[in-house]
Amino acid sequence: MVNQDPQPEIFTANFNNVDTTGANTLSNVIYTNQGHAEQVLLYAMKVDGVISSSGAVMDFQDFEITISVGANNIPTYAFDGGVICTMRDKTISFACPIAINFKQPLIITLTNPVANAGINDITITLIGETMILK
Amino acid sequence: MANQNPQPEIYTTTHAFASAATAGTQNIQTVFTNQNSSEEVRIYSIAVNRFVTGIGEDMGNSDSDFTARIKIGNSYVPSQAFDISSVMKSDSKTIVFPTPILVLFQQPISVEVTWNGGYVGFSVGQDVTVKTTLMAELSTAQVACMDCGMEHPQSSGCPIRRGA
Repeated sequence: MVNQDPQPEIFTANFNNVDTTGANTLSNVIYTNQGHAEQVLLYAMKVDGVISSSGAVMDFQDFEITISVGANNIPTYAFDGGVICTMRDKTISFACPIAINFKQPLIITLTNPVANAGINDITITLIGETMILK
Repeated sequence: MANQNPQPEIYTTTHAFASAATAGTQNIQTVFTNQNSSEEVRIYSIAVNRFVTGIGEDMGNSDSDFTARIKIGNSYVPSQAFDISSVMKSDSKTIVFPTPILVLFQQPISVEVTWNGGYVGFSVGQDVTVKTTLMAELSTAQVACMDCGMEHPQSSGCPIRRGA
């Protein structure tokens, strides 16, 4: 439920101790807690990572991200997360916002093939707003 | 098929080059947009990254003489291959097209990445993977109403009754 209209929202999904020496499919569910007359729009996404043991900047780049809204994937396919976390601002803007309606949980899935880049903490941040449908 | 209108799309293609790959080696990947006859895809920008295959970390070699071509259906858009080495070395790892690339129904997208040779001489030198990411949106094609002049989705009628 919003406290102002519109209300900025920042949703963070943490994937801790991702062991890249094996293949992973890890999911994080975000509940938007929106009312039935409210809609969430996601405009951008930030991806960052550190080496779990040291906190140093992660150099691991071979992983993909899927965003599921309710029963559907939006965007349709998994996309490269490595390129985002190696950008200087570590952020991409979607060409148009992802719309999340009532009773649609937001699921962030991280997948990686078998690699040899140790154990890393990866953080995915979604930047959006909640507003009352007019 | 879009689940919302418009719907953001991000298409990633993965191009693997063996360490023994010689100059001119090309890797082509196809993206199927799964759009229907009344939908269109617009691609606004491309991001490019590269890393060592199997390790997933940045290349030790600075060599990265790669170019890319984007084929929409049977045509290249842009018309010529362009350098992606400067893109993958830039801070944003992204270039934005001045106008969007338009993808229509039954037009698959092919991304062709070519290694053109570099300082190592005759081979890439490491197993390297190049990933390209196309930032796009999928939307229902709009048509202008002859009566009201406004644009409406092709699949639905004008909310203003014709002849009213």
